[in-house]
Amino acid sequence: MKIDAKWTLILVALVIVCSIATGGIYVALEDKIAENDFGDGDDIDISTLLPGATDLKKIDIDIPEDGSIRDVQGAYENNELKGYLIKTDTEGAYSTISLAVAITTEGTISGIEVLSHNETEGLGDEIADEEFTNRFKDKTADSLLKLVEEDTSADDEIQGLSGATISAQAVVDGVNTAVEFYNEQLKGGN
Amino acid sequence: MKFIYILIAAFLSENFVLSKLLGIYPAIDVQNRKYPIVQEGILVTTAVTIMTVLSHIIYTLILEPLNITYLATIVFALVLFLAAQLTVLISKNMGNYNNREISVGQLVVNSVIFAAIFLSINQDLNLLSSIANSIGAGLGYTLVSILLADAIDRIDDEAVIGAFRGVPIQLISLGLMAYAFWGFSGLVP
Amino acid sequence: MSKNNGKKISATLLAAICTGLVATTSLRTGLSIGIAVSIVLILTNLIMNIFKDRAPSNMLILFYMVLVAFLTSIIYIITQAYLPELIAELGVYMPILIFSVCIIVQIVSGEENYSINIALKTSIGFILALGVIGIVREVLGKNYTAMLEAPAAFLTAGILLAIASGIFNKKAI
Repeated sequence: MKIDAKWTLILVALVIVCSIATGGIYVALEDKIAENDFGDGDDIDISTLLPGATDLKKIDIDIPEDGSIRDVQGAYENNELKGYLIKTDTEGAYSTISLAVAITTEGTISGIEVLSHNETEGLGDEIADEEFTNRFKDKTADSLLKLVEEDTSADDEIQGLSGATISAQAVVDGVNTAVEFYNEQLKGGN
Repeated sequence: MKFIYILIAAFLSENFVLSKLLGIYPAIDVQNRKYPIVQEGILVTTAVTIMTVLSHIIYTLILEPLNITYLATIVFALVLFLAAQLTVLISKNMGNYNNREISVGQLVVNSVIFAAIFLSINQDLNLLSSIANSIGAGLGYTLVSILLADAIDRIDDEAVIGAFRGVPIQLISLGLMAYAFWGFSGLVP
Repeated sequence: MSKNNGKKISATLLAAICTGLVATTSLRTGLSIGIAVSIVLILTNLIMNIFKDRAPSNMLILFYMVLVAFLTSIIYIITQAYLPELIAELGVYMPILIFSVCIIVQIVSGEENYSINIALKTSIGFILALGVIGIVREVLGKNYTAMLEAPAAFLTAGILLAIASGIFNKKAI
């Protein structure tokens, strides 16, 4: 390809003008876009994850910079803190799985929800079914959870999904990240 | 291990053409094919992979730290062209294909949709997984092109109702192939 | 010449429809992508007229790609701000689709031909086709969820295309 200096410059100028224009429009509409907040947790019904809690509020806490924890909110019932909702991202078999983990102030996992994922249809996507997420219900947050193949025998075990080991392990890892964060930062009030 | 899982998923069980509906046109565009299918497939795979690597690096090292991810599409347009240009250069230097040159435009058409998709989904993936995804998608596209070309060869035009001849029957063949490929789902845990 | 032109449009339209197929799960998504693509396509071709006869021909496609990318980004940003429910449905596919359809349309229709005529005709056909495929899949999908899966998109498009070519009494390509 022959390179025409004059037109290359014009092209560069065009790219710069377009970039600045895009930036300008983005900045102008940024607030409006942020308001819309694409389903990032607003549709979570906290009362199903943490019985008794009625609303979620931002709490003042430092979120680790490695990106493992995306958001932490307090779950309240009439301004009384009942527990926390911790959102984490975890690497599944071939997609990032977004989880919401609810842990009560007493240190029990009261429920988890898979917010988004892109795992295999018919197998890996079972991680989002209640049948699987309910297995985390009422587990203690004192210790980390383990994924087992067979029926669970100990309290810190979660029965896996046949054919979706990696996806299930990813969910357990994600919940453990939330549990660790809870134990380090939130346990016993903040 | 994960590298292979992702590759196989993009290749078979979540084939980009059949289950994600991407890159259908280049696969059915048989009349205008100037290049043998397998070689074209290799070129598309190369272009998409180069493209993914470049855009991944630019995205994570420039756009994200500067908080200007809204410029992704514009940057992507330039990277796409660059990757296509590079692939054409590589194919020329390989020496084998000198008699038949694939044009940059042709290559852009064939890889734009695959490449484009990676810019967005690969934001969450690491570089290695992105590469696996690109190679898988390129190979998947090649496989579907070969299968479809073979199917078209076998379709007896006389037996097809007039209105269905040509593209409609090709699309329907692709649909049936997509059902068959559904059987692969679950191949990767 | 006109016959040649007609063939060009149907090949171009076909390329556009095939690429846009992913957005045809409902009437709304189909129409929105159709309209967005039309806006970008027509505006870009208008602007390209400034460069068409001046810039070296091998650089034209680069100008075209930058302009398409620019308009696509703007449409995406505006949609994010004012039509968030559309983004919830289409997600990241939206800018990708608009961009890819425009690029493919241009390259298939002839690399140095930035004709508004072709852009207009392709746009109208594209909106109609995506709308029809979208409404068929949406209506049937209410009872048969399989209609919303990928294979059904091929079958729907194939059958509708056959019906269309039967009505207009010509081969699709």
